[in-house]
Amino acid sequence: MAGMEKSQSWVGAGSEGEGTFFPASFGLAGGLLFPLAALIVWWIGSSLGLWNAFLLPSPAGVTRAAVKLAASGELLHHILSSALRIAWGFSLSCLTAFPLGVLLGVRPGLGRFFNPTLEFLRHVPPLALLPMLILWFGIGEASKTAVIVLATFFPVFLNTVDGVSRCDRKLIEVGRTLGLTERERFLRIILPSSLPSVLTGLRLGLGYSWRALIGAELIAASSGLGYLIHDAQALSRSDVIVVAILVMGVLGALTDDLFFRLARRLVPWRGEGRRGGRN
Amino acid sequence: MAGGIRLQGITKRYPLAEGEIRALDGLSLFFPKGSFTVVLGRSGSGKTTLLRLLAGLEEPTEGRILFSEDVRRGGRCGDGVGIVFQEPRLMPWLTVEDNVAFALKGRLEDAEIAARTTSILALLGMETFRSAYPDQLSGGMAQRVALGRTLAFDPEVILMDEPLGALDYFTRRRLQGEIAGLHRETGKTFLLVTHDVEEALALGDRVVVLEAGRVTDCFCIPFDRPRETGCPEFLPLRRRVLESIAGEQCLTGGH
Ligand SMILES: Nc1ncnc2c1ncn2[C@@H]1O[C@H](COP(=O)(O)OP(=O)(O)O)[C@@H](O)[C@H]1O
Ligand SMILES: [Mg+2]
Repeated sequence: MAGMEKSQSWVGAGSEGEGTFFPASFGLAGGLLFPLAALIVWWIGSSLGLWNAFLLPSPAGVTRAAVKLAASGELLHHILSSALRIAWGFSLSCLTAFPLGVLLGVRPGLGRFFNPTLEFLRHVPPLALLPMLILWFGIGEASKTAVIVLATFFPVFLNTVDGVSRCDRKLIEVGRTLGLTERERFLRIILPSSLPSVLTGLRLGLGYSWRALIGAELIAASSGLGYLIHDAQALSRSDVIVVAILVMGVLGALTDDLFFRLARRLVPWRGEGRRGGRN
Repeated sequence: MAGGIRLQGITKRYPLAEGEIRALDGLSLFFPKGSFTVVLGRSGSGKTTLLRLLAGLEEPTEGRILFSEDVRRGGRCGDGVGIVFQEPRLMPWLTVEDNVAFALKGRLEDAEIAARTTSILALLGMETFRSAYPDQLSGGMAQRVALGRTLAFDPEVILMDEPLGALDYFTRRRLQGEIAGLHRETGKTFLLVTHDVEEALALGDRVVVLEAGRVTDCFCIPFDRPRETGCPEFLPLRRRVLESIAGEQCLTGGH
């Protein structure tokens, strides 16, 4: 028996046991597997002329377009104007959604005044409102900002309400028995305990802001990545469209990753941070 | 006059869908300052309710709770009643150190908080875990931290609601010894509730038996701590306590 226990044949969920098929150390390299495969297929298909270059331009053509767009500063200009809109819209959204979420989290009774309205607004896609927004705010920046606010308000708001209202009563009791005032209990127990939820909401909101903004820019804008696509479509430049799509995907993933790292630093007690959440 | 906490005809009723439940039923008790009382009772006998009333988390339906001058409850640190719950209830976002210091933040100078926290962590043998988060602790360590947080608050009275109930036998025995030591060193008033007869015999100056919200018996335990409750001199006492809480038939029924 003792000999068997020493033998190397025991396999368990140990440090490297997690996912034995794809070892964890595969990491980033593993994540590049599919993009690389797609790139190779794309490249081979294009060189063999399996499809019309207009329908899907070759990797070389896309690279040329990207270099040209980057060199002229045009790409940066569009990226910056999209990013700026998100910065504005998302900040505005957080500045309203977070306090309102906290308020409804600590005073659930107020929900009956707000909930029907919010429930209605939540089910209207922001882009559906764009024509009205343009009518009210004009074709300029304000209508785009409004679309982003509408798209990001609910994930931030709902996850804040969730986090605040689901604060463990037992922890609040601890605060009471240790002589914390109501204000201290809010600042030192309720708020920190809601932080993981709030961060999840912010992260979801950030993701939604990209999607909604690109939509708005496709419809009505004179700059931004959405506009770049819209313009390229008019000029039948599918290579530029592919460049814009790739930039959006990469930027979105990078922002999200940045945010995820930030969240993990802010919430060190949650091993992994949380994916998922309400939207 | 003798200091302490006096309960006078305490009744606590909870409304139910139909009628109500009497969690405590006309309870009158006195906990002298510096004593170690164990309230022993089966689950549902009203132990938690009693502690929640003493901690000020709930108000009695009838009756009064009187604190003598020297143990009066107030919002101020070092003044009043502290409670250790059955679950550790640590703040998951704070380290062990910050959890222990939780009641002190904003009330004392930082240097004093650090000094007090350090001495409490040393007292509990938790120095090496000072920057760990609660989810990295075992049940016994987490409950030690909870105890440390209450000690840091420096209350005159320490209430404990089955604090060792969720722990394994060995950890429980060890922490019982630590709690007895703390009582000796601090001279504070301790009130621990439990359903464990051995624990009651090991810790209390006095064991109060609670049943259906009433005190049905009371035993003085005249032995020094730490105690070895397996010793022959405990046998008659254990038998009497068991009879009192479980009834004669339960004692013989098993054989
Ligand atoms: N908040 C409450 N609402 C209704 N009934 C309660 C409440 N708290 C306790 N009780 C009831 O009061 C009785 C005593 O409960 P408790 O004090 O928790 O007992 P113990 O801690 O000894 O197990 C039980 O019958 C329990 O169901
Ligand atoms: Mg209980």
